[in-house]
Formats: sequence, structure tokens, C-alpha cells
Amino acid sequence: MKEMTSTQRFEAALKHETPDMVPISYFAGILQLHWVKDNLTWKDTVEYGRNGIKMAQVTSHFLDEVGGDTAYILSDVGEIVQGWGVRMKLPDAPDIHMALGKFAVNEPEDWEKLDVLDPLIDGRMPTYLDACQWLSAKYHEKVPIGVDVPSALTTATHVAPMETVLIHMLTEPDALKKGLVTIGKTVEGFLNACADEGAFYSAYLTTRASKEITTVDQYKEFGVPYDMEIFKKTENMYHICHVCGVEPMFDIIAEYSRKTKNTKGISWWDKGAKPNLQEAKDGWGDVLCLMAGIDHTNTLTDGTPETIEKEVAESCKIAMPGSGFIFAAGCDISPKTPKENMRAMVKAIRKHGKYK
Amino acid sequence: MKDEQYKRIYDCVVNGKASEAQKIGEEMKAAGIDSKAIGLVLIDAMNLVGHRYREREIALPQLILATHCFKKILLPYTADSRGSEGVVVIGTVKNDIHDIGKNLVVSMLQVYNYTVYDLGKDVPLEKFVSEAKKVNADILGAGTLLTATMPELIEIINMMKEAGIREKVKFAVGGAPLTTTYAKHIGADGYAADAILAVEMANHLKKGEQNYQAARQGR
Repeated sequence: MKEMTSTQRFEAALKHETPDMVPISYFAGILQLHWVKDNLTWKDTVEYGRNGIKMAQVTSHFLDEVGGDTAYILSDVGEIVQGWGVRMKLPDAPDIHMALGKFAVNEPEDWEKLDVLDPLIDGRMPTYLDACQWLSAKYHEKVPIGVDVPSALTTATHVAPMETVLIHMLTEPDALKKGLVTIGKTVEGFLNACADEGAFYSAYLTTRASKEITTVDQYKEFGVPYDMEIFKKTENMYHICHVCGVEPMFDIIAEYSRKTKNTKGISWWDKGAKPNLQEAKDGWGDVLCLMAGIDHTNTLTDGTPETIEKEVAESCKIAMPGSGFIFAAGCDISPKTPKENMRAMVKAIRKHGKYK
Repeated sequence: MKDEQYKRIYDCVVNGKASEAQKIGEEMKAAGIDSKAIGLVLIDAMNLVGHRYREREIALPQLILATHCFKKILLPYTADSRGSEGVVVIGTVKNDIHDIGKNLVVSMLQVYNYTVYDLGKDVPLEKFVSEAKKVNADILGAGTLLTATMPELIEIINMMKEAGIREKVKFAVGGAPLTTTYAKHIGADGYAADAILAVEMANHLKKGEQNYQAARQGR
């Protein structure tokens, strides 16, 4: 089969068409930084989050050194919500991002006070757009540029403490929904601005769509309507829903794929969550492109090149048939991951992930 | 405690009646119900809520609301706390953002007159040790709900040794995946399976006991 560009490979997998080989993607924000700068300090972490060009250069350097098929810009969770006055807390250690500090919403009436933000002006969204633009100029259309953008409900848990949002679901649902409408329009604007600057896809963080966090009915009420609205109004890019939890709501994400043109995949921790990769392939593999394949909590951090190759080979065997498979770790890769393990992973995928 | 008092407290937590919670606490205190009796009802109620959560009959919003009620009911009792029993530094380890159980432990320790420095969740390991040293803690408590972050507890013990406080400060652990066996294995001084037992454990550790494991059946 003729060799494809990374973008062609990635898009083929999303559309369940046969690529030349399994595309590789990462969640490797802090790891990327460690890769570039071994003696990292927390100041570098902060600078990464504040300077779009540095963010892009770090992403690019990592991709060029390790290999893979996506230039995926992973930032902290503050770039949008700082626009509403959420304050960030500087990290205490170099191997963590800035964290959320002071929240903008604490009382039910605060939800209504939020305004729709402008991605070109507010928060650190312009920084992120700079990174998209820089990477887009470097890779043109050969490598897909990926952005990580939280869903409306996930963003709500960055505007207000998680506990507050969850309590408001039960005690102040109308107030929370007013906030979700505003947040949804902001997320939509940010995604479209990313697409304008060359982003090809988003890892759309539907992190609360997991049954240990919300019930299916709660997610249908507070997640689905806002997700659907965003997907329908951001058709210039693909979306892959990322769920961090251990019981991701595959049926809901599959419905997104059936009902929208651009939401085509799911990323989750297939080695620790339910369903695992085999169950997901059997149950939803014809509807959803599965983005998974290696355990970032164990195999990548503590494994050897041999155990990594074994896990890669097993995942490829399960998920390659019929296409719809992007190789990835289940979530953010630990900065403790040895460089040789990352290289072993890429080598193994290139060996075991060839389509005939 | 009368049956109707028990039922009122229990119902408030199980059904998340947040607006009534503090008032119930005030009324119970005025009626002379002591904090231990209240605590036992609260744990009964939280056990049912926890069971429903594990069975996925409810999800995190209901669990959080129950916790919220738990804390509100205890507020009138916490207000009297003089913090004279001892000093506890507590947090959830780095890369783990689960803190519901830890928050319950904090509330109960405060009710029982402990001064508690709550470091929150996702706490860098160095901070546990530096804070314990800074505030001259009697007990350092660390929790984790993730199997992946359990080894961080061993790291904390090593850091305590390096900082020269291991002999002086008792180290206690807690969290759903932990067991008495694991706590003993890593060399923790104490383990508690729930918030009431955490108080019992803290009292024993304060008396100088070592290796105190407060578990209920099967843990």
C-alpha cells in the first residue's frame, strides 16, 4: 500500500477506511516538556502554558524525536476559564501543570453572570491559537494538529469547584444550565478559532461521561445537549471524545458518532476501565474509532521494550481489523516514562500496525 | 438517642437534604446528643450511600451531597473544637484527585478536638513532609483511592526518614484500595477504614501505640 501522510492515515482511521498503518497519537504534555528539558523547573511549566510559540516548539520537538502521527497540543485546563476570572495556582513541582486556584463560580447566581468569551482576546486562548498557527505553518497539512478542549460540563467543573457543580446538578439545575449555555457557546467559539488556525481535530474532554461520576440520566441532562450543540456548530474539525473515568458511557459517545458528521472516536483507558479494548471493539468498533492500546500507568512507566512490544502487538491484533483504530495511551503519559519505552512503543506499532 | 432522632439524621444524609442539615446538628447538640453518637449514625448513613454508589444506583452528585450533609450536621460540634487533642496533617497524594473520604476524616477529627491541616488533593509528596515538620504534627495522614498511586505512600515514608521526622511523627494511611495488610506491609503506623475509625486510630496513635489498624470486617 502507498505510504500515506500522517493526516491521511489519521483521517482514514477515523472514517473506518483502511490506512497504510495504524496512526499513533499521544497525551504527553508534561512528558514533552521533560523530553526537551531534563532539568525542568516549575518556571518552565508555567512558561509552557503562557507562551504559544514555546508550547508549539515543545510539541514539535517531541514529535520529531519520538515519532508519531499527531502534533497534539496539551495544555493545562486554564486557558479558557481564566477568561472568567479563574485564577491559576503555580505548580509546587516541575512534573505537574499549573492547577486551578480561585474559582469564578461559587454560588448558584454566579452561573448567570458568566459572559460568552472571545477566543481571540480572553483567557489564555490566544496563546493556544498561537501554538496551532505555528504548528500548522510547520507541518502544513501533512500532520494533523490536535487540541484538547474540555466539554461544556467539564469546563463548568473548572469554573466552579467540582463538588459545587455536582451539588448544583441536584439542587440548582436551572442555574447550572444557564451557565452551561454560556460555557457551551464559548467552547464552540474556541474550537472554531482553533480550526481556523489549522487544528484538524480535538480531543474533546467528555471527562464526566463516566458512570462512577454521573448517572447516564444525569449526563443526558447536563452533558449531551451541550455537547451536541457544540459538535453541530464546529463541523470544520473532527472530535474524539476523551473519557478519563473507569466506566465510560460508550453508548452515548456512539450516539454522537451516529448523529453528527464530525464526532468519530473515543479515547479511554482501555487497560484499566470497562470496557476493555476487546469489549469496545466487539460492542462499538463499527461506530467509533477506538483510540487506545497501551497502559500509561504501568506498561509505559515500568515495562521493558519487550513487554511494551507484547502489549502493542496484542492491541493491534484486537483493534486493527476493519480499521477504526488509533494507537494511544489512555490518558496523560507520566513524565517518569523512560525515553527508551516511548521509542520502543513507536517502533512496535510501526512493526505490528501495518495494513496489507 | 431516640429512634426518631436517628431516623432524622440518617434520612438527611441518605436523601441529601442539605438545607436541613445544619439545623439538625444544632438541634441534636441542644438535645444533648454527643458527637460520637451522631458520628455513628452518620457513618451508618454514609455506608448506605456508599453501597448505593458502588452498585451505581446513584453517582457522584448524590455521594457529594450526602458528604455535604454529613459535614453540615457536624458543624455545630466542630465549632466547639479547641484542637487540643493533637495536630494532624492530611491530604490525598499527588496524581489522585479523590478527596471525599479524606474530607469526612477531616470533619470527624475536628469534631474530636484535633487541629487539622488539610493539604487538599493531588498533593506533592514533599509537601506532606514539609508541612508536618513546619506545624510540628503528631500524625501525618495520606490517602489514595487509586491503585496506581498507592506506591506514593512508601515514598512519603522514605521522605519522612530523610527529613528526620519518621520517629517523631506517626504515619497513617487510608483509602478504598488499601487494607490492613498493605498498611502493615509498607510500615505505616496506622490505617483506618472509615472516618469514625480514623478518630479511634488517631487517639491510639497519640497515646504512642504503633501499628494500629482500625478496620471493620473483611478489610
